[in-house]
Amino acid sequence: MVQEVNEVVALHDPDHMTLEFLSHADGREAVAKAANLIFVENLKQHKLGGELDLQILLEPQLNEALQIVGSKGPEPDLLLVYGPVRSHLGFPAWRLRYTEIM
Amino acid sequence: MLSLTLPIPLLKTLTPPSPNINNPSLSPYSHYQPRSRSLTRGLIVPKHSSATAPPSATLRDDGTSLAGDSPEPLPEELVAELMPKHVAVIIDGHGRWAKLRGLPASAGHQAGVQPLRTVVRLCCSWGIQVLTVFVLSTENWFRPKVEVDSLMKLFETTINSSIACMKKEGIQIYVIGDSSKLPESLRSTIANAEKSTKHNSRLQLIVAMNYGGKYDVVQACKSVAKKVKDGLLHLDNINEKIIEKELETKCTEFPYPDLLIRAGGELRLSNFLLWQLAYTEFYFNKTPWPDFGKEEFVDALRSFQQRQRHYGGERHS
Repeated sequence: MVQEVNEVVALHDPDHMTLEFLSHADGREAVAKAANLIFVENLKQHKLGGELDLQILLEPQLNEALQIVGSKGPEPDLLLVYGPVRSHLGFPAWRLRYTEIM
Repeated sequence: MLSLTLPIPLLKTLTPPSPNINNPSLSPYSHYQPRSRSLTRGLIVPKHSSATAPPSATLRDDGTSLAGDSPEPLPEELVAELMPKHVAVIIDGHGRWAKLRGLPASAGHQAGVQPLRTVVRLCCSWGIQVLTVFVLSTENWFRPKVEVDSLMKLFETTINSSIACMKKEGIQIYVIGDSSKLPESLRSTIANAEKSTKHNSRLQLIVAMNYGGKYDVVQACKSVAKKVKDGLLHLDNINEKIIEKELETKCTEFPYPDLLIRAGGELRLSNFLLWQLAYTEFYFNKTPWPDFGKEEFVDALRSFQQRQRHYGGERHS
């Protein structure tokens, strides 16, 4: 039996293993969705002038938006690549800054 | 994204196995089968007490060694048709190289200029069209101030001394990254180099300076936001292709590297070209950058040519 959990539970339950299933939608597509979400929210707040504040687009805001669109997870310590290639094959790059790749 | 938790408690008593040094197949580098190398080249070197690099690392700062008059013939083991169009390089290991020789870190950085000139020359000779080099990360500012300052000076003198040669050899230089933190004199040097070489087309040399992959995505999103604000773009049209067009690598016709080489022994991307490297082939090499030369570059290219490339399903030999 497996139980679906949210990210908070997954990160704060050291006694259990968490399996995360990712797809291409969690990669570049998710970043585009997150950016879009920020734009839409910001435009809602500035309905009158339709002004877009460029300062709201910073790394923490993008992280938050990725969480809302369901694509924000922990940065892995290790990425194992199987097969004849040596590439991360579109794994969500936002989370691969300091991941060891083997 | 779906996260599931398994009701199986993890055993807290497990310890990772110690690395098996007798079994080379367990090494993350074994994938690449590098040629055997003489230990003397990297390790058994007399210590120097002075702050200058040893004679073996002396550089020709006149820039004449950048591409050379006679092209380097393609080694027999490489196939011209299978050559990558865009090669990205993370240069690393300068500090360890210098420490082994009893030298300051700045000597390691200084000794890293010649290998870069060698790789540029080989790219020019072998038809590689774009070379992107990661020289300074957004995280590197946390290093000691004296090291950062000497790096800035080195960038400036190296670019200045190479402009004439780049013009002559048909090399176009383009610097990506957040230039706002760079010293004014370096920014001026960069602008001059870019302007002087903008019509060159033999090789595009992209230098990532104060660059970070996350920074790049954020600045691309800001650029898209500005277009929305200016009425040039409608919100409904925003997708990954739109963001892609605003990444700093938009300066090249081939924004996605075919091959990433990391020198210095680390096995990570270190926040370099995160978006652009999705289907790039990685080649990790233990050689510190100051010792990186033609042999190592050929090894990387040969390894690349032997692989099958995948683009999320399709297979390309």
